[in-house]
Amino acid sequence: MATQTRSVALERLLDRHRREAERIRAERGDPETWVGDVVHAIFEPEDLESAFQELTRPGSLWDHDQRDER
Amino acid sequence: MNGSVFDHSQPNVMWPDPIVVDSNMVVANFQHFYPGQDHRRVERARAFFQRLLHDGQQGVLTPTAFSAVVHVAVRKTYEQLVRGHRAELRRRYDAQVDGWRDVYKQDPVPLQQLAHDLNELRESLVPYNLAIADLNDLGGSVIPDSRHSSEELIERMTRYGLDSSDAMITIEASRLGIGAIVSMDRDMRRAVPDFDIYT
Repeated sequence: MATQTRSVALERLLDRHRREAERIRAERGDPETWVGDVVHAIFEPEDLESAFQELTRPGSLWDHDQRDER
Repeated sequence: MNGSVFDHSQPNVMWPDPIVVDSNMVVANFQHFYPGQDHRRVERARAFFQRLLHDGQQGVLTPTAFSAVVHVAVRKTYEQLVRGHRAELRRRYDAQVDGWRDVYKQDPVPLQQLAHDLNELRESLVPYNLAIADLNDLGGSVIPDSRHSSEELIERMTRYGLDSSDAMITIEASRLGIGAIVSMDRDMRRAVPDFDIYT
């Protein structure tokens, strides 16, 4: 496993993130209970499938038809 | 460094904290919110995000990876408009409409109307312990001899054999001082000379 020194910028990013994550969890609760509504408002099921294929073109490591590859 | 490829789903595999998360992991995790999305990769992505959520592991989404996530939201919104409505759209815009780009070129309003949804999308990522890096976060490089990013982009694209977006994610990871990337894209394994790749 690679070990690298954390930069000041990274520490700042993570501190900022922790504060925002705590605020969102406090306001909206467990993300598993509400993120689905966000996803459904934007994407239809076939949209996500094609989006995944586009982002991994020419191929995902983990599609059904490639499960025996590894 | 010379990295390695790991299977992040193995219980004995510990990821570095933090780890850069590729956009395809985010989209695969979104798929579990629709029933019947039983691809093996959907379960793997969900398990990864559950570990982020419950085990205190930290992920980082770089600006380029975040841009890819919002791009697919925009593209899919336009594709939904086009689906089954090409003739109507041709009449409305008095132009050829063969795909989503044709509507995008004609009309920015559907994108402008996405402001709320895109902000919600961004906010939905944060509580999964997925930190979204700001461009300003990339300025404090820990690489002593870092070059102009445009030169570095070309060097990485040609050394790894990676296209520009993936190569840029590796540059952003390096600028943040992160040496590990989790991705379901087989191409990303080409960055193994400099990164640990978790798949």
